[in-house]
Amino acid sequence: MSAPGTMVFADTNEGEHLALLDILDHVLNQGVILRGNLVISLAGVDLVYVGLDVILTSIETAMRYIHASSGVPEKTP
Amino acid sequence: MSILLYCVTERTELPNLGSGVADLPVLSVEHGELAVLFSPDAWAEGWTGAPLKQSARQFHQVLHRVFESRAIIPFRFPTLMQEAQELATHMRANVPEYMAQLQKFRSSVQMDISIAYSDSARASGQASGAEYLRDRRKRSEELDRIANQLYTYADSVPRDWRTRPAQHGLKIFALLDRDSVEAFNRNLQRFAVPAGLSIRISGPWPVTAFLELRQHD
Repeated sequence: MSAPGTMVFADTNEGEHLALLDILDHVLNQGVILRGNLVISLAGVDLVYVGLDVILTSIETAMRYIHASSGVPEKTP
Repeated sequence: MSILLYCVTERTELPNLGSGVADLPVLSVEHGELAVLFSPDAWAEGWTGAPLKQSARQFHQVLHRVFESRAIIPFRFPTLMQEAQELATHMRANVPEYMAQLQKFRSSVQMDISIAYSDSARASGQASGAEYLRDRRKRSEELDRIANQLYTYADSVPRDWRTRPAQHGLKIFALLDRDSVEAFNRNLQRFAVPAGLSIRISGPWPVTAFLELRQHD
């Protein structure tokens, strides 16, 4: 037997109480993506000519790479 | 010096911008009738080591402070530029496009509706390929039917709709006037959600699913 259906309202004006899931969905998946090739340099390491949409999907991996390359220890949550 | 972009908005009477990702200052730079919000020194050590969820929340808070009183066009997080000159070049070519979209959606907000099958309803066991495809088609038809029912319940409050498939269901975006959010929620509260489904309604959000932005290089 299926669970009863549910409806939940999440008001963005609730600030701190807004679910992280909603926030991540919006800031990572919606909004303008700039086209073009940019050179991003982090901690002295160039990420050469990567489209920003590519960076968007792999930012945490990029961070780990940068920290590993620069010798700066990565902070953990 | 890299800069982190937050959003584009009309330049008049900006609210207090406060701080943003990694507690960096949020500044604005004017391009024509527009203002672009950004943080300088965006690759400061404080951010590169911070958890993504913390940075995303801080990014959202900046957008929300501005969006409370005006339309914005948000950039995806993280949108970075090497220097302010690159931003100036981009804006020189695109001010009319941004302006047209801000004017079009000046008094609008977006509500998001996520329809998903619950865990127990998703469990399909060891079905054959044919059964799996039949099940998917049946669910797709059911989701379309529910979406149509929601449109009916929402009545004429939304001016437009968009849908896109989601991992375990369907995502619907509604475009409505800023002062119609309460009426929209009230209308949808009357909908009886079928067993095995969950519906999550969030907003108001800046309009993103309805933007038609043609960028010029």
